[in-house]
Amino acid sequence: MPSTADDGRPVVVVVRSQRRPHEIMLMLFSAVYGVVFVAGLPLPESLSAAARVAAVGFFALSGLGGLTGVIVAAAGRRFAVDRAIRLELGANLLVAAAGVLYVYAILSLSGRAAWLVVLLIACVWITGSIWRAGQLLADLRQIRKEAR
Amino acid sequence: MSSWTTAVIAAVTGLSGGGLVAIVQGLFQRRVTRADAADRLTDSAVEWATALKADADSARREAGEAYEAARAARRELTEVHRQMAALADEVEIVTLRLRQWRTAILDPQTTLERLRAMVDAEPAHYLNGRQS
Repeated sequence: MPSTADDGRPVVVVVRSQRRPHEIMLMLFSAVYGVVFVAGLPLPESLSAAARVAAVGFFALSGLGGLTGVIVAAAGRRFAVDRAIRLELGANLLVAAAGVLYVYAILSLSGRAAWLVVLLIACVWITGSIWRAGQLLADLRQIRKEAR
Repeated sequence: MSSWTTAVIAAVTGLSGGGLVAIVQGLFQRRVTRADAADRLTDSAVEWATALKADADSARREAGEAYEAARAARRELTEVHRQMAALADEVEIVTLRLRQWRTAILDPQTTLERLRAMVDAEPAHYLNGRQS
């Protein structure tokens, strides 16, 4: 039952919950991590040769996805909404891919002992990014459906 | 290659491929929509805006119907005025005619032939000033 004011009209308050701080921090972390290591810093010594490909792939995807996500978040309304949605969608998918590689690298090195870290990354990083990508895809479909 | 590795490669390929396609489309594809969506809203605000838009559409439709009804009523009123003006003219003609007949009837020098001539002055098919 919606709340009503004294004159019977529904009371509506629009809150600004679209800042997405977790997503933006993940993008920022991915961008810094990825750009820094792809730019030339040596990989962490904990990563062995077996996981090197995964590690390099992780940093590349992480850097590209994170940079894109940070740029879109910083651009705000300067991008058209459908363009911003596409870019954010792409950034989330790349960051999710980076998360998969990260999980692979960790499991390759530490095996089941790192199950808690893997679970954290899988739930928050990978699943959250794919979930957000799904929301953005639904938004794109709605725009195409209503505004063509 | 283990199935675990295959699954990882498939997942990474799918996700990164989809992501790159979306980014390339976002950068290079021209706008294909007509929408000028100003911002993204919370779910509750979207519901409220959707309901408001539906109410606005309904109000616009009702206003259009009311406008058409008003136009039809105005047309009918114009026609009624026209008919009333014609009726008033007929009433005036009939009243004048009755006065003439009354004067003639009360005139002591009037004859029956003269009265018949007055009544016959109008064509038989012309009743009360209106063609029948």
